[in-house]
Amino acid sequence: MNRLMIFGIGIVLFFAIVAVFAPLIAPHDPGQIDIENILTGPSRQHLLGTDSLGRDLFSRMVYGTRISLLVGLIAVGISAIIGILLGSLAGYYGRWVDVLIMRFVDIMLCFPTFFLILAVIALLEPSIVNIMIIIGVTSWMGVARLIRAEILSLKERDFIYAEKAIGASDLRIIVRHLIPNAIAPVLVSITLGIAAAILVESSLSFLGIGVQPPTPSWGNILSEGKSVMGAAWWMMLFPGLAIFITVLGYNLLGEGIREKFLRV
Amino acid sequence: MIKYILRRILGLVPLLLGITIITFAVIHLAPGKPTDLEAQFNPKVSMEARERLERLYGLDKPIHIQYTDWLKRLLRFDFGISFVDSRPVIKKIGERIPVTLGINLASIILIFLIGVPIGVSSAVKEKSFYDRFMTVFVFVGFAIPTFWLSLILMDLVGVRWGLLPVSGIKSLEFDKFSLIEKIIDVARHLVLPVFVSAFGGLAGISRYMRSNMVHVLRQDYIRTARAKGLKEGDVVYKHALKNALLPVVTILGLSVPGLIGGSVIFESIFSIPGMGRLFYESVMARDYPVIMGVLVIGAALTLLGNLLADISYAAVDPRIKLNE
Repeated sequence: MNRLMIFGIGIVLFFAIVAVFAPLIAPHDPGQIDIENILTGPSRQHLLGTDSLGRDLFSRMVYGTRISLLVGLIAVGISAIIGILLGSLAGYYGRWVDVLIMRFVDIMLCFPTFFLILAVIALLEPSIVNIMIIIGVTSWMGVARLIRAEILSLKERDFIYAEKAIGASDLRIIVRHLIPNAIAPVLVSITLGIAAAILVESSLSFLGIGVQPPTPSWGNILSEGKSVMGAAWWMMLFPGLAIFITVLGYNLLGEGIREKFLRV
Repeated sequence: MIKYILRRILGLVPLLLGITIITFAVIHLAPGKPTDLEAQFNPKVSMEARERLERLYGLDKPIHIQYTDWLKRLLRFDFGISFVDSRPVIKKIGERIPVTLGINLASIILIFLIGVPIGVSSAVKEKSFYDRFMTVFVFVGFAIPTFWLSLILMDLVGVRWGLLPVSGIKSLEFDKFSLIEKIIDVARHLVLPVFVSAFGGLAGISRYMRSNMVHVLRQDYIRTARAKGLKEGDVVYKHALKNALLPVVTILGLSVPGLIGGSVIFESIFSIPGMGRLFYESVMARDYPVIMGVLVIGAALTLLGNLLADISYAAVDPRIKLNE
């Protein structure tokens, strides 16, 4: 394993621990308003300072970690399920199934994804569940293409013919033999996808149509940071830094997996 | 070549049709009718007026008729009338497109001019300190959130140091400027937005260019070129570079939707009157005709970008035509 990948794993683990143990780590209640300490800079009392309602920024960031990771993981889970399902159907059955699904993929890839997400989220309502679903539904195309390509070459291999010869069902062949053998490149795509989903969620929250206050998310803290620009640098620096480091971590991990298992 | 181009254009028709279907579905699957909002905030709107409004937009017809009606109008480039200010949608989008395309074009050129040399030099000095440094830079570029970078630059360069304007694309007293001053003024306004929109893509292209170049430099014909005693500069820049550059053309085409999508963010931060900001405002106001118009046009622009990339690829790589 190279050094960058270990660095990536370290970051990913660190934020995972922060998210899981958020109540133990956060020194204050993230919703606790304190009008006597509005926009105070980092101090021993408030490690990263306070926001415009006097809430402890460090605690809000810690709870924000939960939101970001949750959205990232579930959104990518949804996109992986859709992508693997459609990709393996297209790859295994070929012909019109393949044409239909891959055309659909081509069409979906034409849309500036962020536009599509923005439109749907505003027409529904910006709840955390909706955000996860929409990011998932608009980001499965890469996984579908990867799985399809893998299965196209795998299905001509002898062990698949052997399975067919002993009368295994299509479902069994796809689920037990094809998908497990095709999963390696998807793993890379999934890891990088988590980073992308976290970026999308924080962009949405930053624009005010993602996670809604008072629920803290890195994106909406940053959005507040924009409105107090010049008066409270900590409100802008720390949430951005958290997004940046997390995304970096997942990207490094993804690239690491690619180099280790795929050697390209 | 012409046959190839015609075939590619014909192949776009089903994609365009699919784009309209998805756009239409996205809007109509959402709960509530497009006219709800207009009626909702206006207590004076009676049931009768509401029905009239629905008839006006054809919302009383079955859904497939609505779709074909809309499609027929699209073919005449009639995107309908904006709910917000009753102006034709095509006009609203038309005024915004040049700004967004201009910024994106500028950033694509910047990405190309900086990203390609970085990629090539990293590949030539593979595994050197410089190469490692650039690898780290690339990961940083990938991970840095655009909106955060925009805010930091705005705060530092614009507010604290006062070097560049941070809002809009021209100054208030723009009309009084001479032509040269006008050009300088717009350019100064665009420095930060173009830089921000190029930053992420820069990392991608240089990484991609590097791996292409590393791959090409290991080919037999490069060894042959060296063996026959060519200067290293000729080997790298004449033989290897040309071949490594080819796939980058396609990648630039593929990066169009990302760039257009990203325009929402930096256009709203820097208050730039482009398509992204128009889309954001329309989404917030539930201005359905504009939302649908921007979605269709945004996707069509992507198709156009891919088409141009494919054609230029075919123009420079004779193998494409042989295979066709």
